Amino acid sequence: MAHIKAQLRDYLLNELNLPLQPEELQDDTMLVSDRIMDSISSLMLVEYLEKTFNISFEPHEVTAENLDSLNIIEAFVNQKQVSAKAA
Amino acid sequence: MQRLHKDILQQAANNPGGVAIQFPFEKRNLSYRQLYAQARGITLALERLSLPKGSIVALYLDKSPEAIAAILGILMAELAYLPLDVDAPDSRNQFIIEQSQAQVVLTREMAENPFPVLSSPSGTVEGLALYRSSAEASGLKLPEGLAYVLYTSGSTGVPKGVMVTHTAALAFVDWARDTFVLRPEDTLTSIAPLHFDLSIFDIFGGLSAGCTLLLLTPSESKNPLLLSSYIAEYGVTTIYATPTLLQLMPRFGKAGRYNHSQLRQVLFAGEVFPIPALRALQEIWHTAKFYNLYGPTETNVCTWHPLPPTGTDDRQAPYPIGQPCPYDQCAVLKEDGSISSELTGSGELLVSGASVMAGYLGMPEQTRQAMVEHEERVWYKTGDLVEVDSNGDLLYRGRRGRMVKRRGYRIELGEIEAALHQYEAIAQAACLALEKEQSVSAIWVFYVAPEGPLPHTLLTEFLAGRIPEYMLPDRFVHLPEIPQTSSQKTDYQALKQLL
Repeated sequence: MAHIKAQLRDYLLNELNLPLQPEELQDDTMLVSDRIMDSISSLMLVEYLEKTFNISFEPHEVTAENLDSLNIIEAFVNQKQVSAKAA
Repeated sequence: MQRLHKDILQQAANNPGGVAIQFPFEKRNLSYRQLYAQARGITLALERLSLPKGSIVALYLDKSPEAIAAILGILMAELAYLPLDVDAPDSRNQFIIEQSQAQVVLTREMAENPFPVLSSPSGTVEGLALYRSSAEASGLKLPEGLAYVLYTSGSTGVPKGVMVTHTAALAFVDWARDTFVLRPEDTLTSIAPLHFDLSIFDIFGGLSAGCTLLLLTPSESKNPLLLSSYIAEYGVTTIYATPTLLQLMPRFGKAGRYNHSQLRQVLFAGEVFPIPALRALQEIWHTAKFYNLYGPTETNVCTWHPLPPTGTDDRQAPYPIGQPCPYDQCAVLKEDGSISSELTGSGELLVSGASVMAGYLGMPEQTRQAMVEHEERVWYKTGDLVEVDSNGDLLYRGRRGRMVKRRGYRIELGEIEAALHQYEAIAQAACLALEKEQSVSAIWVFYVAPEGPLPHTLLTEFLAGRIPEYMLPDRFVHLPEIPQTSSQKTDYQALKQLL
């Protein structure tokens, strides 16, 4: 599933233009907690994730807990895709 | 003198079972009877402290039903409330507690007290702890009938406490309740934090009319999808918010999924609403009426403009801030220094009347500088530039000086620079705000650090310990030197060329 992270990295650095050098964006870099990503960028990320990975966020899921790092986002996307298949 | 909370008590007496507060964050609600009972408990606890009438009680509380009860309880005890921003750095709150000479701080019981100025709690009431302050109470002149104090950004790095009396607050609240026809059947969102002046409408306009207040936490207020689902679930009829938040609704709120048909009015204030974003919002909420309200914290809302019904005009420029509210007068300070109380021409907007603040707490010099006398009236100089259009409506034309607006908050760029200059590795710093349609889209920092560039996270972390989150810059640019004008001042024009 490395490709989810690769796509995400590209989106965060080149589309959202987060204030980070590519080498500073590690899999566990805390994007929200360390104030790298503001609330509007988070919303754009949610929109991107919904479109790209064909998932849908519930209102309560748009939170820092699900969006804080590449690892966390990947886990969340995987979990959503699994539960979508199960349903 | 009429009290700001008078009609809330009346509602509690008339309709004790009515829902005063919905708090979805903890899935609970409070009836008017429960709200009153909690407030009364707090009043009694405060009265036991025998503070002089009108003394300031600070609130260090998350947005919660208890915070609203505390506000009510403080006012019922004939004291004034000062809401602290719990997300602001401790150093800033410590400064405010000391500068305001607040006698008591109401808060949750804290495992560790972050404020050296507070002694251990002197009691608990309704789940809240009362901390006495050791700040010296001397020399501060408080106005008679003080209801609350709200702190705003100051250009020299020191926040200023805007003092508002019961009479001044009521001028706006009574008018707003009538004008927006608030009734017990209404549900109002409470989006603004309690230290932000938009909250005055929500709390006092809403509760004094017997409405239900849908109390939202800061993180809920930043989530348009959640807001969208709540509007449907709780049958929200009235929203008062900044354009920054409202313009996220069409794109991120998935309004098509939810039934918003009960929403009858949308009030916005705090900044300019760009027309394309406003049109998109009017499209999803096409049956609601829209109102533009305007006013700095120092005057509360002082002008307003009802927008024409959706789809009936094709205005391309932002809507006017409109006409003075009936309790205030406006005048224009022209470039040549003359003042015109007939609304014509263009210049700085002056406001005089019932809703104007009593002054900045403990800052008589700043208060004097903010006011001007003309025709035997005292006028507050808003620092906002206006122009009067052919209909006699006021158009907002930007800010005087280096104050900018973001998410409805006022930010003095000088306050950010003052914080940066406390960073040891930084020799020089200058801030610029990138503005789009008179609203800040990004704050840029240019700095000189002899040891070389500093990581964004490090700078942000440092600043987060000194200034509130809404002031944090978006970009940091390291420069070998900051360009200067011939008079050795920062050359902001030259910096702008670098963007």
